[in-house]
Amino acid sequence: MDASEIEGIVRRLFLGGDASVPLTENTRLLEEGICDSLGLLSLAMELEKRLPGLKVRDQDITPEHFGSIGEICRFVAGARG
Amino acid sequence: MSATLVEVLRRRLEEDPDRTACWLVGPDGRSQPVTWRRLMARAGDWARAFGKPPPGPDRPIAAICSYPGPDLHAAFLGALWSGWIPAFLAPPSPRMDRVKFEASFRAILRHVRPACLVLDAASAERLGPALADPGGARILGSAGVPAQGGPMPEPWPATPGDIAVLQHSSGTTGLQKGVALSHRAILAHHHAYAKVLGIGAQDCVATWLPLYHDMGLMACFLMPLIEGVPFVEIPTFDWVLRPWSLMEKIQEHRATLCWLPNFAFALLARTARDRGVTPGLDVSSVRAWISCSEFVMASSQRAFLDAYGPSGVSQDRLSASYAMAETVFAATQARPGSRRVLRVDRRALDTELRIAEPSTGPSIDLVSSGPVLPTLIIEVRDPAGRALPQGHLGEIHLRGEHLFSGYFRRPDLTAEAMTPDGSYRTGDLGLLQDGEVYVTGRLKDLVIIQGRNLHPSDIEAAAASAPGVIPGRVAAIGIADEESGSERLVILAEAEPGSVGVEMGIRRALVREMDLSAGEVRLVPERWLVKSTSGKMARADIRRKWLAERTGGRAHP
Repeated sequence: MDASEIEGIVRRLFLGGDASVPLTENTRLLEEGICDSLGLLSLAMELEKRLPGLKVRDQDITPEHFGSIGEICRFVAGARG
Repeated sequence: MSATLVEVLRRRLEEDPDRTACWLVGPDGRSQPVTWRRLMARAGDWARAFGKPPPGPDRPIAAICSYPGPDLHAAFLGALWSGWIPAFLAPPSPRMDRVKFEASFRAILRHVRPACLVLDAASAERLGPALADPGGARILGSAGVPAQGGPMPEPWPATPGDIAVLQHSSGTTGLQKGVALSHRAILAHHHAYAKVLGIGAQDCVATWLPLYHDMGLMACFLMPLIEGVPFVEIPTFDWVLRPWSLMEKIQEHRATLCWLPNFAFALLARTARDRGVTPGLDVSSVRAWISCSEFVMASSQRAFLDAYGPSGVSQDRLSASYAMAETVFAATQARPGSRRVLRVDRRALDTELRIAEPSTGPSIDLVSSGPVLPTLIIEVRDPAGRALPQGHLGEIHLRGEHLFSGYFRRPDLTAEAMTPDGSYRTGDLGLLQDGEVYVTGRLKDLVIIQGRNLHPSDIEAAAASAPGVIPGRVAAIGIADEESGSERLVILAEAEPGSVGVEMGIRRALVREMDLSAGEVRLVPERWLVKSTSGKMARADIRRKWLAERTGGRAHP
């Protein structure tokens, strides 16, 4: 799953699909007010739905793994190894 | 009957010191049992650390600002024991701008003027420079409270009318409103509410609610202690990332009572749908799931029932309560298994302010919050203060045995909230029908997001600090959102011509200043926002205009 797909998920989940909000791989999702902590869980669940075989462990749902689009990309790549 | 909280605590301790008072769930997910003996021994340590209240008319305040930890409850009980007035304050949010948090924290210190500030290491570190001048407060952390054990020190001789606890609601405006509650009011509430719920020795409360919220403090901490039933507590932040842990803990401890805001029902249903339910989950021990602090959405309850029906949740166990800090907590409680729904004519309700049988026009379902507690008297009144007959819509007024003593150090706000005959004006709109209370909306412009009561003026001030927003031209409104089971915060702003990135600036400002994520931020054309003749933001009109334009299919108003 690449960054643009994850960006699409973020836009759909948190921005009502709005394409005008500028998002980069480094935009801090929590700090910039795109989502709150509950949003991280929604993201994890959405990724599991989209990527059969991906199982996000409870302890991995953290702001470190889901804090930006770039971090999510790296986490997903690592988790699917 | 014991007349003060301290007397009840002492009696409970003497009755059976080895009984479990609570289980605190640690970062590893394990439940640590805490006996009455251990809890109160630590409370005794804290009581000694606080010391005797200094003589004088003003009792000292112990402000407790701490993340969940083993000392949170003991510090509170120790303050109560030694005649200090404990007040939980929300610990600093990691998302919020440090400078902003410090500023709001200093404002609390100035208003509450605590003689002691209880801080854990993490809060102390985050607060940093704000603590250099704590306004004369002594700063106390767990490390400064040596474990001495031994017999409890002699309690301060409280009388029933003394203020026992200060309860602050959230939000900048809320911080100015410390709800002062007496021993008498708290005990009257707990005994009455426990009786209505039929709380007994077999009960156990499961919670993840923060203690600085009235539902966490009263329903899930003090009431279980006073009534002698244990509680299982998951730290709020852990629950947010792993909501299903609540269901697992319910099963582990065979919990019987669970208070949740509406959004939690929706969230638990969504996690079950997306991740599945823990295999073999059995939460049939819970006899009442009580929805509280937010408007109850039928869709959230239905989704919860669908998701957890096979695990032992049934329709007759879904319940609700209408509660507020000013009545200690619950004002009403729905009778288990008999939630009434009234289908009424919408036009009659909106224009004639009364219920009528649905006719050809649109109808609306009103969900009952149950009968008022026997210790309170409820009246629905018109704007002139006259009591209305049943079936008529007006402002809900409450008086009775467990009303607050006033807003702490704010006689002006207290006078505003009370009528000459001693009733509390709730600011909520509702009606009475066949002895049941139906809450339909509110007079006050509050936005309630995930159980947090937010004042639009605070949100608007934070949003207006973003570059490019025209001063005074921003409105915050809440729109019911079935997906999240809460309200969705919509910010509408007018921007200076040529400014860019205003929406992101507003989002960032809301996080920094209030730890708040907007559901939607939209720029509207100049002079789109409506103000009243007195120059105030006409939020009800703005809300209607926004909804009309949105359903009209226009992406940008």
